Amino acid sequence: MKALIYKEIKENLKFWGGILGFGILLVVFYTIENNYRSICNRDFLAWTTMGSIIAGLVIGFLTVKETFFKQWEFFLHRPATRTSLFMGKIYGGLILYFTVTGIPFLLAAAWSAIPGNIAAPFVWRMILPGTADILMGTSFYFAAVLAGMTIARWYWSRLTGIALASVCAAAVNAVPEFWQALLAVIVADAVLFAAAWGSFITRGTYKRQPWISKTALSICIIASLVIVQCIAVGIIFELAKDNNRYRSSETVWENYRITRKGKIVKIKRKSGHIISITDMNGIPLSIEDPSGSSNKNSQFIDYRYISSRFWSPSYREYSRYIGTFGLYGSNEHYYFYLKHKGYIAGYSKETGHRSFTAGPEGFFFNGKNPDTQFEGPILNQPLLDFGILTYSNGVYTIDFQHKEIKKILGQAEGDGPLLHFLKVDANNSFNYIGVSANKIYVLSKDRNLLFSAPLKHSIKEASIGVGMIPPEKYFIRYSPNFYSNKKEIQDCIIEVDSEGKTIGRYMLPPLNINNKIYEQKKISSLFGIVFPPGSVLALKAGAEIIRASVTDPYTVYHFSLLDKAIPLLFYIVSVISGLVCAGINYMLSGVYALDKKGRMLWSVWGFLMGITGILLFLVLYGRLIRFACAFCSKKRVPNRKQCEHCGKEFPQPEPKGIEIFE
Amino acid sequence: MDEYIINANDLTRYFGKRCVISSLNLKIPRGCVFALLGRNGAGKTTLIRMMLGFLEPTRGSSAVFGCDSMDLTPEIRSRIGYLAEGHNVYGWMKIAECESFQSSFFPSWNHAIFKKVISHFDLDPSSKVRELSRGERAGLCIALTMAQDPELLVLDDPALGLDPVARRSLLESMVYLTQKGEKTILFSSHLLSDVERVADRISIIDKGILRTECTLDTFRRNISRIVLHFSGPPPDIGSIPGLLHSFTTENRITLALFGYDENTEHTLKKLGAEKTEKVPLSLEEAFISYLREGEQKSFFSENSGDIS
Amino acid sequence: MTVEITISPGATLPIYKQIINQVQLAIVNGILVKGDRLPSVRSLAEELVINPNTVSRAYRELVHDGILEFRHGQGVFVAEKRQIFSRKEEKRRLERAIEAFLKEVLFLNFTHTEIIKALETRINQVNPRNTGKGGHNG
Repeated sequence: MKALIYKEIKENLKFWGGILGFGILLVVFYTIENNYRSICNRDFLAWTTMGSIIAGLVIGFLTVKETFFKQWEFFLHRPATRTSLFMGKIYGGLILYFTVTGIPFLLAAAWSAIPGNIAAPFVWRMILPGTADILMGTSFYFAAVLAGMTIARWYWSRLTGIALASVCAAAVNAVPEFWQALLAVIVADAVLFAAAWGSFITRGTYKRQPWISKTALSICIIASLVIVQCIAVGIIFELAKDNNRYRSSETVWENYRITRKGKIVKIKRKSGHIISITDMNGIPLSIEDPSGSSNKNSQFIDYRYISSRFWSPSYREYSRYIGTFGLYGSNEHYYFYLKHKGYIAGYSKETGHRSFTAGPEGFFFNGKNPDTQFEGPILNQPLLDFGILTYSNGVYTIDFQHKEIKKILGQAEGDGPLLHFLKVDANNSFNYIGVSANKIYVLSKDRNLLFSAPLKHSIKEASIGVGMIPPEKYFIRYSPNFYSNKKEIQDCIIEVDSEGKTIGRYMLPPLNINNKIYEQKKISSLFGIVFPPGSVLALKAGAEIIRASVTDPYTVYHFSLLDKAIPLLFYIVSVISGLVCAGINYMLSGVYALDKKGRMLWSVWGFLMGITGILLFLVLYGRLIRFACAFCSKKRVPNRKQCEHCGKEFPQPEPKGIEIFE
Repeated sequence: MDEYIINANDLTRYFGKRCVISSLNLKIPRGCVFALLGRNGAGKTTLIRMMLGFLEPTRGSSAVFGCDSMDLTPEIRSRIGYLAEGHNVYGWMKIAECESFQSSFFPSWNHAIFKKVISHFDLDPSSKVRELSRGERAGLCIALTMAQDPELLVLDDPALGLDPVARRSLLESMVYLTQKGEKTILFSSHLLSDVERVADRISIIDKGILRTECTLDTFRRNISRIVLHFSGPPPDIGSIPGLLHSFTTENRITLALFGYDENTEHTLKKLGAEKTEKVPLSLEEAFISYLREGEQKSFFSENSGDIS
Repeated sequence: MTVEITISPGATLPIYKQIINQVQLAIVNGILVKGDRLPSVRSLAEELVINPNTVSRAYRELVHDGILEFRHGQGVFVAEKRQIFSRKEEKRRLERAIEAFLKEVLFLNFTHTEIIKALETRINQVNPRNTGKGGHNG
């Protein structure tokens, strides 16, 4: 085994290893130089992704190059099991792969870790995205091994593994957490490894593979067929879609608004136009409209909502590890918020070293760190918010030019930490809203506290909006959001004064929000043909998972409406198409002379996977060759001793001439 | 089971619609030097590949040392030396590296044999494989196979592309191997003079069908050539039992016959030839006649007797 | 004395028969005499680059015909001088040689008497002992 691993490495290291490694090294340093996001910057990560994919594919093909150079039999004929030969190749290939990708990467990480090379702090967890990419490349490695092994019936069937590896690459890039990326890699690798192993030990034929490899290979093929199907369905969908097909133009939207005179009204809208204005109880009102516009919107004050939408950066974002401030304030420094330390650091662009730090008490120089810290992560992204930083223990303005920090809002007596703080865009004179668990704080454009008031419902339970009629009339609007228990949260508007004292409370009758945004269109049932029962079940399961993990109520709400928009006929068509495909598979497997168990199995796959199930069968079993039986004249397959119709064996071939046997 | 090293049963292989090997039954006895003969494309390499587990048969099975070919255990593979068609090895390796690579796998590696064969072919252990000529590469492969000290040696067209000296060295290696106890050799070849030197038994595959499997001697004995001289133009041959092929010219018929006995003699007498001559045949002539069964050629020059 | 055996594969005569012929001729010509040891099967096979079984077969037939004898543990030796060829075979060989000779000389401008005289002269020069009958059974 050792000799084999050694040979594998030696065979490919000098030339290919050198080229790949060197190429990757060059690109890697090119992309991190002068980029303050160092090994988490997008270009670098794009290259770790591409580099890993290319290295994986190249080394994977190199691993099985005996198949291209006719050395296959020389390689296989030795006293070792095929599995051990396979493992020897894989170990050698993976060692080579990790050398070629890992060494440049680690060098880059080490280089950026050295203070002074990059004008930014370095946190070791920043290697996570690059590591995930390198690990993801192994799935392309196995996919290339599989592609090199499979006797391709049609050219694209060589690429089935690569399709699955691409899904893995997409997942690694898209998921928010590192452990999820790792999981995607492990799953893809397990499937591709099993498929590659099975193909290796039988040199590409399907029938003799162990069941685990057959399953893995089928998964790869299904993945690529599903991708093709999705693209096809998506194209059809786009072409057939009428923009308003699912959004009914008949939808009527209702909401409560406050007029500039302070009156609360209920308005109804259709197709963007106001169609009625009534009071809270539905009695129509007439509103003067000096402007004469049919919209009548300008008569109402606007609420500004503070949402509980917490956005957490994915593990691939730099800001996951270190908060960034970008360039504003100074052309000489980059500024960062070190979450794990709780203070801000400024790095000189010229020297690359840290010039100063800043904490709640102010700026510190000459290598000193602040005594007190900011608490918690930044509650909003300050890039757009000039000079405002929000932490759990307060809101600060920071002036990088004059190196000053000022607290504008702190944790009040008896109140908990701030949960959210937002700059809102308003033509009123309030520009900032902050909430804690119990209180709401509203600040003016000049960052002075206009008022603070106790919250009737927390931001997790209800949607909170603030409206204002200058000079001192304030309204807080509460309405249930998707998570609200509707029995407890009622639409209401609370009027407060500048002390935060409640001066008016208006309970509002519930709005009709069950609009039929998505109408059931009978024609959508036709899609049941391309969504066999198995995919319907999978989609439903996927939808449930998304629903459980997504926190955005808007998306979830629309999900449930979409669900209701699917007509029953769709499911019926789906089941019928499943049955038809099951029948086709049953017939096909009979023609290919599979045994009873095989036929039943393939019928089940046909039912669950529909057209994909049929295609899977054809890909795995290939072209059918049949000959007329000498006895019963029916067509029979050549690989069975007995004819599947009459049971007679193949006759001995006609002698081509005189035969001599002794 | 022990008597036969390789046992093939109803082996059949299709490539698409084309049947390359058809219901082939073959038993190769232990200790035999067995030659696999046939025209190009007859299916010899396919057969060898199936017997050694590199190709799955469409139907039928074969066993080597009692073990099914598709499931040859590592232990059994260590007893088989295989020289695949084309003499392919890793081009980037040096000869010495080839040896260390192979010897790490085969437990009974004999370095002395390797050295001997290498020097026989005049090879330098430090030269790279891709620098070697065809014949030198063949020599390397032969050395690698022999040094395994195998019980069964399978050689697929080993003399292809070899110069006469290299071919001789190959034959010497084969003879050397037969001297060392009960070793079996299975080889395919087109060079019948070489086959005649070393083979005990031969088999002939014709378009995927096994037509002959017997000793060399039996094959030769059974095929004979008869020349019939006539005073005038020769008559039509008609049907003669065992006729392989005929060549008719102005006043002569040359016949290649299988199994010459009284019946045949009697039938030939009926043709009324002036003189009947039985001409001896070399192995190559016998082989060609055998594979040309059914051919009836004639040659009549335009101006008979005219020498211009 | 030792015998030089050569074979040509691809000839119309099987190899083992070629060996047999050469051994027989060597004995007939006196190159091999009674008691001479022939090369072992292995060494001859290696020298001629042929299958040892072929050599064995040739030796076996010669032993069977009594021309060679097998001494256990020592090898194969030339046996008592015996009739190598059967009478029939001898007659056949003579006839064949005569045919070949006549094919060569009948073209030339000699009378029959001249030819026979030349033959007689030469045969007495080469093999003076064998003028009459003798040396083998009838």
